[in-house]
Amino acid sequence: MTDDIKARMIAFLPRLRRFAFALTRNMDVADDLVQDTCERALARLDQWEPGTSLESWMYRIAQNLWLDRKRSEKSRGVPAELDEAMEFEGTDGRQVTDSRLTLAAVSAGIERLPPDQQVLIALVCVEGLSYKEAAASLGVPIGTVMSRLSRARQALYQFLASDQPVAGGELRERVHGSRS
Amino acid sequence: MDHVPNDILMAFVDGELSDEQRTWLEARLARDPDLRSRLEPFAVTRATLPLIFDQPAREPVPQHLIALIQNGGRSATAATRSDRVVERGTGSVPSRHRPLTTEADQSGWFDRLFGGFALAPALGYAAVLLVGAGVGWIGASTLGGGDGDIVRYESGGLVASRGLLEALDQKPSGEALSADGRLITVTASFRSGDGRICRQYQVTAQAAPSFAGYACRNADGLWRVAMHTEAVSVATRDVAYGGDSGEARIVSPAVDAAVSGTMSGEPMAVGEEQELLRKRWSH
Repeated sequence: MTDDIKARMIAFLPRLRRFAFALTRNMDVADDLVQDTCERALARLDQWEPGTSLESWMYRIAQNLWLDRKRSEKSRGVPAELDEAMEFEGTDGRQVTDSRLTLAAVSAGIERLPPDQQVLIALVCVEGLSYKEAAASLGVPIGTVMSRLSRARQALYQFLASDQPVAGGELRERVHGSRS
Repeated sequence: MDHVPNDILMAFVDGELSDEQRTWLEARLARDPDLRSRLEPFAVTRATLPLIFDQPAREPVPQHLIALIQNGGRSATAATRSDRVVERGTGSVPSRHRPLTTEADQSGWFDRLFGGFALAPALGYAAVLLVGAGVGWIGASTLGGGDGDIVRYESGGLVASRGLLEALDQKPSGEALSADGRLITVTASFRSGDGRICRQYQVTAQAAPSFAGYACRNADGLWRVAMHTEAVSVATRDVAYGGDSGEARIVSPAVDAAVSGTMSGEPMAVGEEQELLRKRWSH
């Protein structure tokens, strides 16, 4: 493997970690995901087509590892996030203010979304990928990206604008939580 | 009037509309407050999520991850998942406006966009607060009582006041101009996709709403305001310690999104901007 590719991967690590953090909402779990992603990318480097975006390819590996993990949690009976997002009522003109926009509240809101919508939030809102790039990453048409992402962001916003309590101590636990 | 689907409003905020679509929607938004309020879920999520999840940007990359790549995938060091070695000095996360290759100068654009947004770096997990969130849009209907003397709506376009024109014409980014009891600050200069020079700005005043926008210089040498909206005051505070010591910053998600969509390449470096100011923007 050339040093050039290694250098690109290392330069990409800060963004890959942010992506993983947006998916897992826990820095330790995020770094495990990043490590697994790098190991897989390095082991399967022959599957990456030079000339295409190395970064997009690595986002895709991370996202697929995470989605696989979510599926296996579900099949093992770990309480999955239900598709609750659609249950929220309208916001009655309430606006998102002050304490709702914390890591804890946003994390709680994102966790209620279906996993593929969580991936879209992380790819587009956090990482700033275009719809086209996100569509390629998930292997779905752009129209699907737009409708899912728009639903996800409205549901997240409505959750943040609602009066759903978020435990105050949750934040530290989320960030520094011990892995089980 | 036709119903504007949420997908289109979201694409506007994300800078994914074509110039033609954007112009059309801007005209609709300028006269439809209900439509403007529907931008909010998209603008808030677009502007705040990168900040909410920016912890990895504020700390160095764990050394074991770097070593893993350097060793071609074999964990050759003693560092394991439970025994992490963290060292200083690995890059931080570039903002989405900046490609990976230019890390050396990465603080400038992000800082300009978010007004030097500081998320209590030493203390850890700052929260972003949107105070009185609401992405306002200054159109014909709302100009009268509010910010009408900075930008007014005239024959289908937004027209800049003398003070704003002076700031756009003469002030380097970051230097405030005082006019009509307000501070006008250009926050960044950039080139649009169609080659015009554009400048993003903010307007603040004591005990009055803040505004943000951007203007582009047409071929005839006149600045034309492309967007001017009520901005959001963003404060930072350290949630883990329950404090509330942050100071407010001006953020306008809709303007940031529109600028991202309009900008071609990178925002101008200080030197280039100085040169253009000196030459009165003739390029």
